[in-house]
Amino acid sequence: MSRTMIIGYGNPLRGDDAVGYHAARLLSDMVKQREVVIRTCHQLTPELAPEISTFEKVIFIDASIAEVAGELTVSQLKHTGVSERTISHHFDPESVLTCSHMLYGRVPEAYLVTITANSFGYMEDLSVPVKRRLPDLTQAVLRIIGNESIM
Amino acid sequence: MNKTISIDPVTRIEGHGKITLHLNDDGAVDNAYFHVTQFRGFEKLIDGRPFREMPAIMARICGICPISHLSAAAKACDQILGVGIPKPAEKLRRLMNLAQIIQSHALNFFYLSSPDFIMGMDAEPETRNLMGVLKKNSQIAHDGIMLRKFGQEIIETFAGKRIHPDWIIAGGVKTPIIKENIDKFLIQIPDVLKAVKRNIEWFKIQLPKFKDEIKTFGSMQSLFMGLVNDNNELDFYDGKLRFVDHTGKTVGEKIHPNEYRTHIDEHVEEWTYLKFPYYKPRGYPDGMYRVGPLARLNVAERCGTELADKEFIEFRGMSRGAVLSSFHYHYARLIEILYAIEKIEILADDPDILQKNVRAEAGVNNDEGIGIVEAPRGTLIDHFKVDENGIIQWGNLIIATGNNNLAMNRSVLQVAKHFVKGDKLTNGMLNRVEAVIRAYDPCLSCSTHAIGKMPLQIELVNTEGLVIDKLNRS
Repeated sequence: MSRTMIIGYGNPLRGDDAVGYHAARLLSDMVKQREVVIRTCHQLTPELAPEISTFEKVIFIDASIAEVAGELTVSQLKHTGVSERTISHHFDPESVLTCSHMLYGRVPEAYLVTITANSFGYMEDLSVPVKRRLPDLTQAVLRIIGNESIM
Repeated sequence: MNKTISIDPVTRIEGHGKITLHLNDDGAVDNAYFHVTQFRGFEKLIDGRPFREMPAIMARICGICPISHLSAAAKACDQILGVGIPKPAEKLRRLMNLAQIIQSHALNFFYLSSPDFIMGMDAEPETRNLMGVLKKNSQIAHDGIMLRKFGQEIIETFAGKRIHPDWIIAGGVKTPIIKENIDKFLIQIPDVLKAVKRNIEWFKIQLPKFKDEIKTFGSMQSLFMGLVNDNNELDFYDGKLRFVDHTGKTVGEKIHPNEYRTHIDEHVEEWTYLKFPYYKPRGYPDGMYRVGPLARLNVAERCGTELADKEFIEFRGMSRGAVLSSFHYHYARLIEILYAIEKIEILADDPDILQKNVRAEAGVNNDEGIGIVEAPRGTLIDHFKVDENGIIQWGNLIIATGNNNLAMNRSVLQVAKHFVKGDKLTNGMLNRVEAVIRAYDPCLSCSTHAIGKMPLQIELVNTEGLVIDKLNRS
């Protein structure tokens, strides 16, 4: 198994925004291999770059905004090297990968797993449509860790 | 016909702001206003809550400097308990506040401000960000990330999480720490010291390129306020308040935190949610003072650590009196990072820090408590009154950024008068007006205790009140 880092991010006080956070906590109970490190954070920051640069694979888990609440998407991220996103309040997975590439000369194989949010209101729990898809999300992450075909 | 320019939102600061520039009939800037357009009202929402909740609630004011909010509130609660907290707890609180100084200053200098120094004030906004720094000077980006990570990881390791931890409580801290965790940071000290020293040297070389900005970014007479210890050295956690004037002369000293209201009052203007604290003996607005890194280095007679003291001498040598330009907040910020690293090393080597006695227990013994600390952006004051059951009856918060409100407005006016000509805005003008605010590193979410987003709008307004030009950043 390749050394893998899972980063679940979002604000646990803003409903479905925290789907990554909740998924990472579930995965912590399910994944016991030492090669897999699981982290939670409110938002992505440049300080993650030195850490992810030491892994072979990184999986970001986040909420997304789209039409159908609860929709699960898995995409492989390509490091383009041209991300110009400003930081402070917005730092996306591609920017973390770009930092990793430019500062440490390494980019792990990277995936983004998302569930479309239903509500970003003030609540500590997930909405029903999002909660219902959590098992599918964790299975998708487990497949990536196992290096199986995911698409 | 007078006109007004408005910058809305101001970017690369924390919170939400807008600037309006009023032009006279000749097209020159006549007046400038820095409006803070958000409101939260923490002083009201704590009414009726148990005082022991205050540290955790106050920490929610800010995601960048929650440790300072925790510490100031906890100190106020210590007074309500009527206890002196155990020495190990005090040292742990100090260590955490210093870690936060490092990460917060690194965020401002490397992530938010260095794009201006590296790409230039006239560069396209799309390139003036950390990614631009990465491409043009990756060493600086590397050092900034390393320093911020160092501070953040100390906070996470001891307090449990980087943002909004609740480890600092009334009477001390929740849990003692273990040696392995201290050692993990001690071995990083040589690298982080090297990084900050490298950037201090680099920044000193850059200074001649910014002569215009140094002359016009809040280069003005004002008072300066900060905490100092009994030796008049920097003290971020405790000590007495000291005020000096632009000549460096002390105008108020050895002011116990509990006496702050005899020296500081707050003025309200209808066009902004951010209040205007001022030095009471001089009245409003003559009692304008500045806080934060520049003020702290003007108020102290030395830092109190070997390497920072060397830099301090050079820094203060730039002026016969106090260093007046707010552009030098950046320079002071780097010296404070150096100081904080040295001080963390000293604290980490102190055997007290590993003692198990980290919390004093007591009930309500006083009906009032005041806590003052130095937050990254300046002096932070928490003041609570409680009933006999410890329920909050009244609260007053003077947040670091608020202390600088008068000075920020004056600085915007000075920059605008120098750089803004005519009734059209250019990015270079806009960025300099924004950059002077950024020098203060304002956290508008904290200072208005308001919901934080920080885009900025700038508007140009004529004498009839009509907006004749507008730029928005989001």
